[in-house]
Amino acid sequence: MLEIRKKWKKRRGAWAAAVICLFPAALICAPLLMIPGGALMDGAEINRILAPVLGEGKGFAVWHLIPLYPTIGHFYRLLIESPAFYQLFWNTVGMTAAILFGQLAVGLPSAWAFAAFQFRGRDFLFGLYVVLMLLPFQVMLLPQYIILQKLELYNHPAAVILPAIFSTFPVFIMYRGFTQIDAEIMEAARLDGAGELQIFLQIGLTLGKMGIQSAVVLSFLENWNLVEQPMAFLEEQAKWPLSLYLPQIDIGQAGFAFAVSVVVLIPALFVFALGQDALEEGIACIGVKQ
Amino acid sequence: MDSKKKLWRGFAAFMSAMLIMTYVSRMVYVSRMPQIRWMNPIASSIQKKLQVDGTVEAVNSQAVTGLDGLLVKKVCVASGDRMEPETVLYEVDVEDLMTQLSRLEAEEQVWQGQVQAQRREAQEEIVRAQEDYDISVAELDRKIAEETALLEDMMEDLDTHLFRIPKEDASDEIWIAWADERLRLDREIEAKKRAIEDTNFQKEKILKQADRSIEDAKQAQSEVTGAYAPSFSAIGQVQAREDKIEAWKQLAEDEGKVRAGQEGTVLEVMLQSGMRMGSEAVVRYADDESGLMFSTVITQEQKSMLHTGDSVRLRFPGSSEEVAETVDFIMQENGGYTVKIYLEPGVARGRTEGVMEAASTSEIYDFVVPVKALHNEGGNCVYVLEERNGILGTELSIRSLTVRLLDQNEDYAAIADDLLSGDMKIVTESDRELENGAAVKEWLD
Amino acid sequence: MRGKWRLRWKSRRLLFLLPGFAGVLLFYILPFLEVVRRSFFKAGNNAFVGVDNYHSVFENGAFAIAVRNTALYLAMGVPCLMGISLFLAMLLRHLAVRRRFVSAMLLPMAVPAAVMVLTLRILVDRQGVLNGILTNVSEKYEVISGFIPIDYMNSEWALVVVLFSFLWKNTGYMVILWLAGLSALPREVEEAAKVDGAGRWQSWHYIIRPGLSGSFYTIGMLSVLQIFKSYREVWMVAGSYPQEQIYFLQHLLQNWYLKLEFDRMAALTVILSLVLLVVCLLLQKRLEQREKRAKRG
Repeated sequence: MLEIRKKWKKRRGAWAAAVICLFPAALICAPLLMIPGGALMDGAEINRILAPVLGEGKGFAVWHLIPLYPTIGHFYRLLIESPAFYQLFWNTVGMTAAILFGQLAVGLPSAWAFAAFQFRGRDFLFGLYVVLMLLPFQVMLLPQYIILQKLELYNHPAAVILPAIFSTFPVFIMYRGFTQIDAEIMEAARLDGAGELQIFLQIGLTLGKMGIQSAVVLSFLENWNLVEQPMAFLEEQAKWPLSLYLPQIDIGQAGFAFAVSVVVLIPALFVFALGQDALEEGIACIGVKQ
Repeated sequence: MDSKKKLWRGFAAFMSAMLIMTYVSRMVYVSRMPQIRWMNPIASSIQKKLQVDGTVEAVNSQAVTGLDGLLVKKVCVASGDRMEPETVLYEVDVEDLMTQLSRLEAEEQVWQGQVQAQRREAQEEIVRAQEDYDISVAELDRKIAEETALLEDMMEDLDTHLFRIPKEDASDEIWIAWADERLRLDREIEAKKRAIEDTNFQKEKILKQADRSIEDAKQAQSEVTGAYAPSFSAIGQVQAREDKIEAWKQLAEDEGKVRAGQEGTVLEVMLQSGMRMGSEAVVRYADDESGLMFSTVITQEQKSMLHTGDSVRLRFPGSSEEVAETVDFIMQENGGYTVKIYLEPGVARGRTEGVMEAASTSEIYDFVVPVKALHNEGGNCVYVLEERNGILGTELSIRSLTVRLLDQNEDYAAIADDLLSGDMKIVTESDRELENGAAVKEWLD
Repeated sequence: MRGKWRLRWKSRRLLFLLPGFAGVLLFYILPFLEVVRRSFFKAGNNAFVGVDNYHSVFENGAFAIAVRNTALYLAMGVPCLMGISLFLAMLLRHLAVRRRFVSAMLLPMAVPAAVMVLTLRILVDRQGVLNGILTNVSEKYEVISGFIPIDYMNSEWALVVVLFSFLWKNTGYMVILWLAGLSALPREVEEAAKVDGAGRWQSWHYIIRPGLSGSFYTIGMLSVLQIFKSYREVWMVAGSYPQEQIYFLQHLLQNWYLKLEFDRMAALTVILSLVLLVVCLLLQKRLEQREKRAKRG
């Protein structure tokens, strides 16, 4: 009896915490529940219940989590009748893939250099990287505009891809991952006569895997939803990413917009699910003190 | 690890599905696109064909007048018929003709009798006046002869007296007696001469008077003749009646057949069997000398295609032959334009209707497109094929361009607009309804 | 011989950094230096104007508003985000099911900005769902009697809405970071303190808080980064000229860019970069000092 009570007493706090946490978790997830409902909702229904928001009705908008007139019409229109959607989808896929690949190719060694080596100016340089990471895009807008004009990359997909490849954010994340590696392992490897490249490839990439993966996932989420950069540097609609397709959809076609977002969400959810472990553990290494 | 594999597989499946759907949606998109053909506007003139109906008319039409008062028995010609001098135009009822004729002759006889009686009377008057004249002249001549015989006697008395002249020594008494005698004789002679002269004068006077009487009688006679015909034209009418009787007699001999007596083409017959004619025209015809013409009326718009001197083709119903002619004149006439074309003799023989066809070539226009390319959107528009940069990259799309229509025929239209240029691609044909801004695909032959 | 080897060894090490740094130099630092140069020249005719551009920035009314709003947003957003996420992390850290919670809370990161904006519009419009619910509640239960619908995006509430959507999107992210920091703390120390009779508060004050000091820096940095990134949603929901409360420095920069006022924009870019640089360096220095002190201690 006593043991059970003790156990209960021990567990009581956990239950309370869970109940408390349930609330923000629900709050966060609730708006997301609108998405599948909206995507399957008949256009007439959605326009009727949103009429006040559309400025055509009195009273207040309501929302049906379960549509009264469910339809797959929006998906049909999107998936069968909207070739533009696919054009932009593949633009986004290509752009995101290029950026991720470039970030790995360029950012990994940089992060490794910051994590594994001591060199003069390292702290200052890293500080600079952090500042560059923090600078809002609008602050870097003019510098980037200037350099892209110089390189004649304006209105070329590279105008979005190249600056993103050299973004310092993934370097920062991967650096954090690499700092988790025990310095002694590397020393041991060096003593064994391993080359720097070998150490990087065999120890860095293996032990820093989680950091790398979380950098990839975060980068993916960031670049999958790129808005400002393509808007500033890409003039031709044919080169736009999908994230600029959605804002073009009028609120009067909210159902269609929700259907688009469902499809847009799918790859993100895949990447999310694939990288979730890494994300949790990988971001974790970022949070750990230096 | 197994769940990861599944996730990767799911991800791969999703991406391949997206790839497939990319093609599917493109195919659906393209299959709904209108297919079009296009061409550049060409600089060209516009050939226009004008086709109007018209009538064949005489340049100068002649009339056959009716035989006043006669009954038509049978009409033998119709408009468009060719007529020779011997052609029977119509027949009159002979019985009726004979009745009419005898009535007319009776009338004429009455006339003649009256006129003759009057004339005879007048003649007698003249004779009487002549007789009076002759008697007066004879009496005066006798009187003059008597007077003249007396005067000669007196002249002899005087000569005798002059022989009995007294001797010189005769007494004075003698002398005085003789002288007195002589003086008396002289006086008597003188008086006689004067009397003869008076008689002569009287005779002249009577003669003149008698002449005047004869004149008067003659005048009276002519007045008698004219009593039934007060004017000169009336005399003509009488003459005409005589002619008419003569003509009718001939007509009756010819069994009532009225013949043309002229060569030409019948234009209009205003006769019906059973009708009694007046003296107005009953048949109009075109004589061969002045010829026929084709006449039609065209509109203002059509007028721009036809000018005097243009060659046109004429076709007449029932004949496959086409006749080339030239437009002789065009004149404005109450709202339209009348076109006249003089025909060569024999061309339109026996026809009163026809079709005129004219082809005209306009000036050279800069932009000529097929009429099919035009469509109406509250004005004349053409669709211009353009390349458009959209989300799907460079697409063919159409844009509506409002143009002015300068000229057109059944197939081609000349258009103008400041924005037009020769290298523009004008949509000429499509397999479905077009809409401004629509994406289209080209028709591959 | 050894020196030479070391040199070679060192230069080979730098090869790791070189490609990345070259790109950073090309796409960030060099154009930035060009912008610094340009900030002293007039945009049209390239005439040297000294600090005129800076003057014009400081004298700009919109600049003052934007600075105030941005500072306010940062001052409210960063502590709120860090505090709430830390609180949640503390609650969650011993829960067996915390992964489920964290997954759920991370979801908003994947939601496209446009969808988030659309949802937000439906919810917080003057005739939106939120006002509808509040009106119903006030009518039925008289909890808040006489509730007047609020036009959130067009009133002083705009900043609050922006703040909420920011928290909504980023709390999960930060919770993970905090959890990581917490998990790195040696559990035994805490257990031992508990056994010694330390209360929750003492345990937080003496053990947890000092242990998280490194995480503070990183999470603070990332919070600032996320605040700046939330401009995207603000712009998408309210446009280039929003309600005054949510007119941020980024609006100013973007609008000047669109109006091609490159000279003033260059000056502002330089100002903002310098401010950020200085703040970062100061923070880093403090952190290093603290670490040194901790090491010494």
